[in-house]
Amino acid sequence: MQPVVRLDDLSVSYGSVRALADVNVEIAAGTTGLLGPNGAGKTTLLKVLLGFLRPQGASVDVAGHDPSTRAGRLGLRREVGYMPEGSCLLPQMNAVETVATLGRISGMDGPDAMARAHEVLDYVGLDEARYRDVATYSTGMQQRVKLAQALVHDPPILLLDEPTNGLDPKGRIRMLDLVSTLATEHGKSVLLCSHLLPDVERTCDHVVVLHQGHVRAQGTIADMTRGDGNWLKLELTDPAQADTLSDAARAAGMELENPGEGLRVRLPAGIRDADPLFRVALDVGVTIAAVEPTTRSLEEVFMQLLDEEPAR
Amino acid sequence: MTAPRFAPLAWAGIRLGWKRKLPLLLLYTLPVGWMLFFSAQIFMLYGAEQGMSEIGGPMMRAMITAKRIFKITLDVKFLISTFFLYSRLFAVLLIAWFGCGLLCEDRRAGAHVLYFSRPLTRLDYVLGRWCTVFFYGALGVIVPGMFIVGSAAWMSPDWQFVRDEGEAVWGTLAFGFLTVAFYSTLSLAVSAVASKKSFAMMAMFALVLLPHALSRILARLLGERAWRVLSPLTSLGKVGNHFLDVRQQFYQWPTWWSAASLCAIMLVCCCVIAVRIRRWEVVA
Repeated sequence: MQPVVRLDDLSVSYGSVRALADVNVEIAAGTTGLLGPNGAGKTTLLKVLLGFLRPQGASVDVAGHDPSTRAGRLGLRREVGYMPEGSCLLPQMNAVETVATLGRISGMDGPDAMARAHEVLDYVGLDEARYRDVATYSTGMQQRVKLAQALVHDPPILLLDEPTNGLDPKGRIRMLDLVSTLATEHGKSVLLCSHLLPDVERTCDHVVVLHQGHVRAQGTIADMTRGDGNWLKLELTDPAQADTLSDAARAAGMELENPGEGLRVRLPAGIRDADPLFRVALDVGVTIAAVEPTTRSLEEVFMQLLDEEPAR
Repeated sequence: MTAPRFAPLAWAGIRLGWKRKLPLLLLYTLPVGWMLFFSAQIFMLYGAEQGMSEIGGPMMRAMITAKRIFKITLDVKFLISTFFLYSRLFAVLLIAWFGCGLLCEDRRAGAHVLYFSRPLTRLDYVLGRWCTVFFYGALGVIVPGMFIVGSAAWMSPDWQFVRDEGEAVWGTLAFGFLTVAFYSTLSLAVSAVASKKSFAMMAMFALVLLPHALSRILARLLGERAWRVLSPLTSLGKVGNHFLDVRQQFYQWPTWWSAASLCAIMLVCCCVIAVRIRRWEVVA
């Protein structure tokens, strides 16, 4: 599948500070989480994608547009909806005026922009409050208006920068549900920039992990959280037989752990299935009820990646 | 034909300014007052010239008498020049009120990020904001000026004013355009630098009045009136009077000096705006 965003050899410096170093990223259609601690380079990457920063020598392609040219920047901004992290709504304007004005600036004509503003405000669940001055809105309402303005011109790509910032748990879940349905039901490609791992885990299929300006990992969440393949989680019919199996497995070159939440076994290197384990169990008369590969949480993966030295 | 990209932004700014009625009322009272005052003068002078004592009542009769005694001659262009002279400080106030908050309030609210992430260049953004402030400035300066010209055209017998002094119409437009364009650019430049509208307004008044005061002091100390070219207020008057072809006994220096002075200030303003807006985009 053609990636919606491709960055090759992207480096960005602010004076002597290197914000991004040799970044090579391909972002496929669907929902992708851009993960990283503060200062990792996430916002700088978004600025590059929006054409605010024009790095020299790098190849940047956003929905087929090259942001290093003026025509490319204008073209990609028609294809991209951006929801900034911080406050960005002008006081004295209500939500309808704000969203419709931004729709018109995106190239829609007046009546279309107004109709579409109401449509997206309905979608984000802002009812009569849409006619009130945005200065009187709660954080949750402001976040919804920010999402609505990103959607007004119906862009195929959405860049959402910390969309759940400042939201209470209910508002957060509602926002994440909206983000999920944008991808699943409306066919949008979403790049969700966040440092909240549960948000990314809940909404995204893919992740790109940035740390200190380097891409530490990219791929599907399923691939990243999969165990190393040699660790299996076991369930015995009779848990009291764990010690018997443990002794027999060790004798056969396997490693068994009982960390509390279940029995885990590491198969000898080079062995990819559980047949040797079943043979050992059969020999000692232990019945295995279930075997499944171990998985790691995204948080475990993330913390491990942050501890690693970047590849140079 | 599609509207230019900056038009929706300009229109949004105009709508926003329109929402606050009290400042509008207060700021436009004096320009409208001057406009009516000068139009009435033209009405009475033309009436007096045509001996229309029967339609004007006691005021018109007094005007006709005064005209005979003091040999007052009707010079519409001079009246328009005087209107611009009288309304120049109000023009600064008016344009400062509408223009000084445009960029810095966008920046404070973070709204510039929303604009820059749209198919809008930095030039479009500045033009959109400039058109907003220009619109309100034009309502207070160009529209009253043209109303006075229109009064003269309407009052003159057989459209004599248009036939004899038609260039005054263009002169008035040019004078008004120059005044509003200059102050609009200045207001956006200070707004691009200031963090709050109130600071920007103070800076704008300082940038207009301090050089004016300084130029007067220098002219007095050095005995050379040409130092007044340093004052934007005086230079605008000099170039504007040139457009109106009004004789200028006081301003004894070449018009291009004033034009160059205004161009230099506008160039600096444009550079300041360009640098600041570029920076905002990068640190958005």
